[in-house]
Parts: sequence; C-alpha cells; structure tokens
Amino acid sequence: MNQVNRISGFSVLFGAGALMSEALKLEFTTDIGPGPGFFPVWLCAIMAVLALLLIAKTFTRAEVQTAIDNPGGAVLRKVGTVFAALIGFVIVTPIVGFIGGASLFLITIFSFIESMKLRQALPLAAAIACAFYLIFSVGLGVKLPTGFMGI
Amino acid sequence: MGVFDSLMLGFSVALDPTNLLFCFVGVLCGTLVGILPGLGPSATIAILIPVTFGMNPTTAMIMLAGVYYGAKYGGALTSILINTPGESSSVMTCLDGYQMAVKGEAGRALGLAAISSFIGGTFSVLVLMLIAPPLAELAISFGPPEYFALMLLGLVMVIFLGGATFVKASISCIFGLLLGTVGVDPLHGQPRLTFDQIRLFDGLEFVIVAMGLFAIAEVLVNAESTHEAGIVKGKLVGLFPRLSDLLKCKFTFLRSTVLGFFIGVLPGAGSTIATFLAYSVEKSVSKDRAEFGHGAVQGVAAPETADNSATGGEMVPLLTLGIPGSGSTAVMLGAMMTYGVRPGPLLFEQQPEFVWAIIASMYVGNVMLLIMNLPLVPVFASALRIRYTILYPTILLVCAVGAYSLNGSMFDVGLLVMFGLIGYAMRKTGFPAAPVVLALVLGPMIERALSQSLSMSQGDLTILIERPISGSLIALITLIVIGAIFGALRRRGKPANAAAS
Repeated sequence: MNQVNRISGFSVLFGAGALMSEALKLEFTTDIGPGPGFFPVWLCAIMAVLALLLIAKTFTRAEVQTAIDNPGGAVLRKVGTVFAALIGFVIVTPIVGFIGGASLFLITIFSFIESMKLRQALPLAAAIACAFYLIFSVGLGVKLPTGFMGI
Repeated sequence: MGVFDSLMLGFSVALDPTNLLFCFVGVLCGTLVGILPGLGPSATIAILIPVTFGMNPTTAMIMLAGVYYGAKYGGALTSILINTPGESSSVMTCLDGYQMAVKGEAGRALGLAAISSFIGGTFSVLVLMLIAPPLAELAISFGPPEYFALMLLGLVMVIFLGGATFVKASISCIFGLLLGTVGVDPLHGQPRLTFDQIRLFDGLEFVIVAMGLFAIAEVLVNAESTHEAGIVKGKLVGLFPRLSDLLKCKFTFLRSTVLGFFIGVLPGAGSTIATFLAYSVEKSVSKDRAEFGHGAVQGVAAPETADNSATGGEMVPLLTLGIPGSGSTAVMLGAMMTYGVRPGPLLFEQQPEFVWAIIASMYVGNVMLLIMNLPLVPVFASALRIRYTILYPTILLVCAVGAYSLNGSMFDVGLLVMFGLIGYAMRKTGFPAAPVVLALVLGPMIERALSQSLSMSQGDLTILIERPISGSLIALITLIVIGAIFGALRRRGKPANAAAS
C-alpha cells in the first residue's frame, strides 16, 4: 500500500509541477483583483503540498493493508488491451468510418480478450456496430464519424 | 404563486405525453442500470447527456432525474437476488434481503424493497417541494461571498464525508478545480493550462470528464473479472408484501425517510451513508435485534427507504442553490448548464415550469417505478443473465459515440480514453472520482465568486468573514476541518489494534 501511495504521490507531484510551470506564465494579479494565474497557481501549490504529504506518510507510517487491491499481471494485461483497443478505435475510425472502426474494436475485445471464436466474434461485432449505426445515426440523428466510404 | 399552484403547473408539464414517455424511459434505464452491477447512475446520466441534446431541456431533465432515482429501485434487486449490490447504496440491503431470498422469500423481500423505495422517494419529493421554495427565496439575497463560502463548504464536506482519506480526497478535489480552469479565462480572456492546444480553448467538456472517470473506469474495473450472476433459485412469487410486514415497518419508514432526506441534503454525505445510518438506527431500536442479518424485514425496509429518501434531499441544494452535493447531482448540474439552464435560487422565479415539472415528474416516476417493480421484477431479473463480456464493450462504444457527438471530433474521444485511464488509476489507488467531477462543475463558479468578492473589497479577504452568512459558513468550515484534524490525531494516538477494530 505504501508503495502504491508513494508512486501516486510522485505522479501527483509531477503533474502539479507541470501545471505550475504552465500557470506561472500567467499574470498572478491585476489592477482590479486576482489575475488569470491566481487560481491555478494556488491550486498547483496546494496540490504539490498534498502530494508531499502523501509521500511523507508512506515513510512515517507502517505498512497498512487496505482494501485497495493489487490487480496482478493478467488483469493489467486485459485492461491494457482494452485501452489499446480504445486507442486503436480513435486512430482507425476516422479512416474506415464508424461501422468499420467499431467492428474492429469489438472483434479485438471479443476474440483477443474474451477468447471468443472468430466465427462468432465477427458476425456479433458487425451486428452490434450496425445496430449502433441504425439507432444513433438513423434513429436519433446523432453524428457519427465517417471514413473513406462515407459511413 | 403558492406551492399547490406551482405543483399543478409542474404536473401540467410532467403529464404531457412526451414528458411521460421520457420519464418512463428514464426510470426504466435507471432500474436496469441499478440492476447491472458496474454502471452507476452518474455514469449513465453522463452517457445519456449527448443523446438528449435535441430534446427540450425539461424533457431531458425529467428523463435524467428518472435515471437517478430509478437506479435506487434497481439496486435492491441484485442485492436481494445475487447478494451483489448494483450501487454502493444497496450494500446494506444485501444483509437481510439476501438472507430472505435464501429462505425462499425473495418475492417478499423484493416487494417490500419496492414499497419502501416508493415511500422514501415520495416523501422526499414532498419535503423537497415544501422546503425548496423558501430556501430559494432566502438564497436570492446571497452575494458572491456567500456563494463562495457555500460552495467551499460543499467541497469540504465532500472531502471529509466521502469515505476516502483526507489527503486523497483533497487531491481529487484540487484536480477537479484545476480541470475547471482549463480554457480561456472568462474574466480576463487569456487561455490557461491549454498547453497551446486550440481545441482546449473552450475548456474541457464536462460530459467527457464525467464519462471517462465514472463510466469508462467503472466498466474497466468490472471487466477485470467475469460476472457470472448466481441468481437465487426458485420462482419469484408473493411480490406484494404482507400487510403485517408493512405494519411492522411503519416506524422504520418514518425514521428512515426523515434520516435519509436530511443526510441527502448534506453535501458529500449521500445516500450510501444514509443507508448505513438508517440500518444502524433500526437495529439499535428494534426489539428483534437478533433477527438483523438473518432476514429481518426492517433490515430491508430501512436502507431502501433511506436510499430513496436521500435522492429528494440531494435535489434540494441542486435546485435551490445550484450547488450539487454528490457525483450524480454534479452530472445533472453539468447537464442543466449544457442545456443553458442555470440552476440556483432564481430558477424558481424565472423558470417555474422547468423546476416544478421536474419535481412533479418525480411523483409520477415513483408511481411508475412501483407499478413496474412489483409485477415486472422477474423480467428485470432476467437482465442479470446478459453476459458482461458482450455488455462492457457495448457500453464503451456508447461512451465513444456520446463523446464524439458533442463536437463531432475524435479528439474528444481521445480525451475520453485519457480520462478513463486516469479514472481507472484513481480507482486502483484509492482516489475518489466524485470530488473531481463536483469540483470541475463548481470550480469556475467558485473562482468567479472569489474574484467578484475580492473585487468588491479591493482585494481584502476579510469580506468573506465580515458578512454574517458567509462568516457563519466559513466558521462552520473551520470547525469541520479542526474536528477532522482532532479526530485523526485521536485515532493516531490509539493503539493499532483498537483502531483496526
């Protein structure tokens, strides 16, 4: 637990530092009161102090087992693959369109993560992607990304 | 206009066929969301916001509110049938509800849960209706210092009552406030924290952050393990509770509704704490204390009543002050602002048909839920058989469609994935997500109120403590913080085993 908190503390500290460097470029005060940088600078400073507090606690307190679970390699691989599939969807969809992108995303999840046979995953993914297109684009008039084929 | 006339105005809008239809859609979605473990009302409301863009704001809000209180009804079903709470506020229902189901009384428990939810939900709307207008009238006299202090109180309570550690909840809160500053500063017209990305000049879309932190993260955490719902065997019969059960629970209903409502009003406390307290109170006052945990009817009635009563309570600060007290109401506030409706004390004066239609629809929705939940429980129970392996990628796609539809940009979908990753990491490391969303919504308002206050006083911070209301609120905040620090120090002083017990 202490290690988790230490890593999160340093990540928050790094984030606060990055945002602070951006916030310091802004005017802190103006003639009429606080400037555009006033609020972000204060917030980054408080965040950095809280991050240091979190880190300090990991050195001063004994290791405590809490409900925060350790996901383990297999779980992280699964979640990582889902994220990779999502990022793939973001990259591929503007090229192949929504139906193509969604189908590829679903096939990746069904066959690579959930170990579904390709002959089952393929029609299921295509059916879900087409159903989405019909419900959202045709039925509700929601704008969906289009690719080189126009859908 | 008196309360009765206003309510009649509300009913005239809420009973419009279109509004009735969307109220039904909302409560149905809410019930299903409550049933399916892993997708809470906050996430569902966030997902549905883009779908409602073409709608009339009143209709849209009636539907979103329906999702919110409908989820409370649905949460009981999984608690009773599979001993898995669909929502954190349904945890206490598991204790006695599941035991009743094991004894072959699942139908009786579900019927009692539906009646309790109806009583709690309806009572809370009644109190909301009575106390919201005078509170809104009082709030009209509030200036920027009062609003600043009030919003600060909301954030402080979320930090201290949210259940996470102080440091982690505070970091979440500050993170949300920082996200709220991204974009062109409305007071000075300068871009802030945009890292020179023109797409961020308009600020972060609230819906994307909420969907990422709530929906994507929630789905991924649940996708880690495959859900195989082990539903209690046997036919669901006797869904209409016995009169003897209702009579046995009459004081339970009363105590739990009052407790649930007032805890709901407190920012940050929320329905989960209300259910825990209601259960504890019932257990301590009951003559059949030994029955609790083994299938006591009061053990089902108390948390279910308090849970639904808290929903009305949570709507009080949202509608009267424009300040959300929980993750779900923060998402609703974000939705209202997206529709161009500014919640707050003037809402009751300027748009009475909007606010009273929502209140009236909550009565209608609770009746719909009662009618749906008693005879249709077996149908809803069948939703538990949907394989999560098919469900979760579908939910992820819905989120992606929702994010894209906001501006027609894949950049927003990319942001959604990024916030999903942040949300997942936050879950895994014990950082609460609700303060981020709450602070993101309140952040720009807090900043505006503070800037206006400081401009009023030529930069003198004492303006915040000089005025009676803001001064009292700042004193209350100080008391809460000091109390929490002393509490933490006392806990540290105790031996480890005592603290653990």
